[in-house]
Amino acid sequence: MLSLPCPFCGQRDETEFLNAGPAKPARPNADVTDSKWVEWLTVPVNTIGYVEEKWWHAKGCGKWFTIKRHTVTHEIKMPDEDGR
Amino acid sequence: MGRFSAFSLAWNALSHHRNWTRYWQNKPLAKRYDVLIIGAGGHGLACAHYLAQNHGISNVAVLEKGWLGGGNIARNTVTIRSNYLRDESIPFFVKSVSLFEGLAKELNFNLMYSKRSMIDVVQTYPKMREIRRRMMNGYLHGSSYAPIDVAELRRRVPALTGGGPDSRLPIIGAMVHKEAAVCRHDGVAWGYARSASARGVEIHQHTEVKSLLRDRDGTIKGVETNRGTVLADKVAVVVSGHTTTITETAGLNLPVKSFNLAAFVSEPVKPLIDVIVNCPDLGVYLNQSDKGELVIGGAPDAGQSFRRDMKQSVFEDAVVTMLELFPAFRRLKLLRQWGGVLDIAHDATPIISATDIPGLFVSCGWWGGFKAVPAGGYTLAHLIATGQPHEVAAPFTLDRFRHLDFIVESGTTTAR
Repeated sequence: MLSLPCPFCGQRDETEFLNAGPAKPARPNADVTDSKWVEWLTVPVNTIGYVEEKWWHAKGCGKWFTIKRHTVTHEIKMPDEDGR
Repeated sequence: MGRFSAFSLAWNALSHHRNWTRYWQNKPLAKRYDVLIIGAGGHGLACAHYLAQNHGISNVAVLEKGWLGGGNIARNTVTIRSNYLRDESIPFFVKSVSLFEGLAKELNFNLMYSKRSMIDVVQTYPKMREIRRRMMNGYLHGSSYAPIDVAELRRRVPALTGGGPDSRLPIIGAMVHKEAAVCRHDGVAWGYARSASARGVEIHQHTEVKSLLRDRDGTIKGVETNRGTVLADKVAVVVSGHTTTITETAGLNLPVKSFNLAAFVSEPVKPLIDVIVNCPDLGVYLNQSDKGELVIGGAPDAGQSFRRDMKQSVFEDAVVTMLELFPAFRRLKLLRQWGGVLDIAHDATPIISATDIPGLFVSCGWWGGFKAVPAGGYTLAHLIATGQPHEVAAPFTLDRFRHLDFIVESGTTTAR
């Protein structure tokens, strides 16, 4: 089981949370091409390595937050830990 | 390749079974092929077989990183069914189910195919409505799905003693899918491999594709492997959960995410359940193998994953929900567990398609792709050979994302 860092409650068990999928990059401007728009809508990052994803502390405080999680080792980092 | 028959069995028994020929040949890796198939799993080997049998294309190499049939074809719960929801999906899976029916004969390989019905146990009214909608759509496309009452359900599955009127989720009805079947999963891989190899297809195990190679004009040129460069005009990526790992080496992004889905097996017990039982409201499903083991599957891990293991919390969730309906199973010992990496598009419909890179084909997004192995291979071979999608797989191209014209298909089990 993962132990997730809720910004409000601290480390809690994964079963208290709902996974809300990959965090998307910023929404493109309205003048974006169709293909870029479709790509933004439909293509998630699906890599062996760190992915950025959203979690919802549904059975806890209700907080939404974003973490980076390694898709093989499950190591968790905060999104700003590597200089972003 | 010798034919398997009662006579060949008796003949080889005379020589103490020492003279059986190999299922497939090991040839040296050539520099160039007409078609490269990445992944010697169910879909890849089926594609190779149908390319050779239906289209006469046998200068084909199947490249496999590990061993033949060691991926998801070895990691599923062997259920074959066609009770899908959408007009686009049902004919495809009906074709797959019918191909499975004649497959042992076609491949001359005993697949231990056993048609045994799947029963969906319904415990909530929203699921009942959804499942009745499935029934009516199945009726239109030749996939049977018929309601039975709770008494009939308990008669057919005597082990199902939970879910009474006082339980958390009382059983309110059930639905029978008569075409559902199980068969020996790695027999499917071995049978297709044997048949493809007999028609001249080469299978290269322990040949890991490191990257896809593109020509100057952007078309596909071949692949770079741990055994050197192999060239081909057409390359098909049929690697289930690791599809994006391969395609991202050519700069191609696909609309799929990979997840870890696990299953586990109990100790063998006497014949107890002769149908496939699926409990969509709980997210657990099981059947009994010919050896007597109960094969039990649950929900996927939350979030993307390329692990092949089982989380304790997911395992406990599956066991606890199963015990609600089958309290007697609490005394079963479990023998083994495993996970597999599956990929899925957000509309949950598979992708069999050419891509933006000319000559590169993908077959991915299968989630539970075992039931689709024959039709998936059949239609992918058609696409590679003719350049046009087969009619039953025509809705499954990547174009549907381009036009945001999704086929929203939710599974009966794990996509809760």
